[in-house]
Amino acid sequence: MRQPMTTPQTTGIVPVVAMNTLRVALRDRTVLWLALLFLAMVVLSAYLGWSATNTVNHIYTQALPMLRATGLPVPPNPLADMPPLAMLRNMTTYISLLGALVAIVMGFQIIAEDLRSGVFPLIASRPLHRAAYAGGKMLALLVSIAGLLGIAAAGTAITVVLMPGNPMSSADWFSLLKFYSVSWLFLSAFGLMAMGSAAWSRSESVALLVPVTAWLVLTFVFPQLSANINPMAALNPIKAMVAPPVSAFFDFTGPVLAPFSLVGAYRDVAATLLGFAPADPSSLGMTGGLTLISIANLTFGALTMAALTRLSGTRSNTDE
Amino acid sequence: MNESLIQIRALAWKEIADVRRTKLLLMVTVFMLAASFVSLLVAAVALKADVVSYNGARELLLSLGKPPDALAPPAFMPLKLLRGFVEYIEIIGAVLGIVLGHRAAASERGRNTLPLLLTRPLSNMTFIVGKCLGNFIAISGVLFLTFALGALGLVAIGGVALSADDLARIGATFVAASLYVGFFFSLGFLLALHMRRSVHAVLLAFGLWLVFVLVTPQIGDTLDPDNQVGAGVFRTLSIAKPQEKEIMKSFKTSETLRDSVEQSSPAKHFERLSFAVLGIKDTYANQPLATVVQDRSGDVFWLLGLFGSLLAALAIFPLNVNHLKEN
Repeated sequence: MRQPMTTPQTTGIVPVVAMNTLRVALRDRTVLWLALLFLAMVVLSAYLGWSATNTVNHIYTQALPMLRATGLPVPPNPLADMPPLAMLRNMTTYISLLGALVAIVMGFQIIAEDLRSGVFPLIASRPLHRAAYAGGKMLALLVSIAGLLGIAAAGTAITVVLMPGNPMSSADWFSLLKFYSVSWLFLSAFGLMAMGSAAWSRSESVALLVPVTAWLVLTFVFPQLSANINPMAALNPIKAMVAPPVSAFFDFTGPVLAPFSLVGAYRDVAATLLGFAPADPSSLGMTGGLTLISIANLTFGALTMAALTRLSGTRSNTDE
Repeated sequence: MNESLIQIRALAWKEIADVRRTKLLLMVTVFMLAASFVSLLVAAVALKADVVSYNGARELLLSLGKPPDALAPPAFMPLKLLRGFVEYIEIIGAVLGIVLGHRAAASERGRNTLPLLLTRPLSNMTFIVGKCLGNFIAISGVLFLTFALGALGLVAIGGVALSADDLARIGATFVAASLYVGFFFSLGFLLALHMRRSVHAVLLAFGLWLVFVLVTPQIGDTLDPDNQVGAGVFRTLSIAKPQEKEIMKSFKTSETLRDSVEQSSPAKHFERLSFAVLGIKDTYANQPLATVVQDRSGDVFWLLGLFGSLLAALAIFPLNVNHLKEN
């Protein structure tokens, strides 16, 4: 007997797909280890920032007699009057380095796992609307990144409270919350980019390498082109904010690349929120930076949705 | 010719042929070349900006009556323009090594040809040596191309005439880069050969890349107090080098800790050796190459030791056929 035609399901499917994806992701030990490394580094970064600030203060104390002996006016402590959140400056580096890579791995695994295990052709054979499947996958990514950053924020808050001589006002706590919200948006963009790449590429290695390459370009090549920041200096939150040399070349490349410099925009917004460095004059500023990060999310979200809805129902990946 | 040597040669040639067809290698190579070009271009532009700024300051001082003899121009070290170039090799070269190492095992696993290969009269050692040899030739080829273009870029973009000594220094850095990238190749190959799932192997390899190349140097960098202020804390306070050394004596423990963190990173050994050889680090500027290499022998031994231990691990650990079938 002929079966009645079934309309693809959409209602209630998104949370089901999302929940199941999260369950599978939690069983992936490699992703968990990377996430743990990220959390450990975020907590460690707070301690490192505090320790480095203390060292500079001690250096200044020891330098004072030498400076006074010169008879010249004594310069102020370069780290004096630094806001309490400034000791978290290294977090911007860890979130834009480790966090972005964890988000890439998460986004990649969420799609690649279904393709690798051969689950995707089975899902495609069911009356399930592909947009609902894509929506569920994206929701799982956004929730997992929010969870990861939520734990990181709790770890940071505990570390900040335990650090002596670092009183936090309610405005500081609010800035910390804003910092983690912006970080969530920033990491989501990379996660969505990796999801789209995993759906688009037949080779897993290429699928993983495309967002990693994009991340490398945004993290190392763009800052060098726009402000002469050498690749390893880009790892230092202070050096990465140094003004470019006076040159027509940088006057041109800075503004031209700024609307595409996702990592640069995040660093500027984060530096302003944590108060450790003034924003780069060639950067987009707070509003521009937030707009760029939001546009990146919308663009990568739309591309991922398009890639997933057009994915062949027979598709399963191999590694080569 | 000995049977094993014939097998090694056949495996190596097959690897080179496979590598040449891989889109990944092309992608990473093009990226490394493009990044190296960008670094040279930007370094040349920044140098020109420095020269303009120096000339401006000189003219101002001369107009104020300063004698010309007191305004000696700063020494120009052309190989310093390669700083960003070396740092890109540090970051992207390691990715190249991991990608090739992973590919060498994963391509066989994906096609399930590795268990088949092992049913042939082929020893474990022959298999490893053949695979490694083919990939080392490919790595050296890519790096040679990168360094040759780097040297040409110095001449064309930087407007620098390279002496025989400069070329020897670039050659020494090329050898160090080959060892460094070879280490990451061996790491990616070892993990992809011995881990149950190849996707976990590549993720772990990238995780280790992250720790060795980015996280450890970043921690070392953060622990350096001079890096906590944009222009450097001692420069901001106008403290001269002898006084700086005197002050830093009280921070011996934290300096030792910082050095130990950096010592644990192969990337840092490659960087320290290359910066010394190319004269990027001021203390080694104008020193003979042999003296520099001798002084940085610790970094040479570290690179050789790390690379050698992974090769030894590849040779010692027997292949488990049950691990070599995808899924």
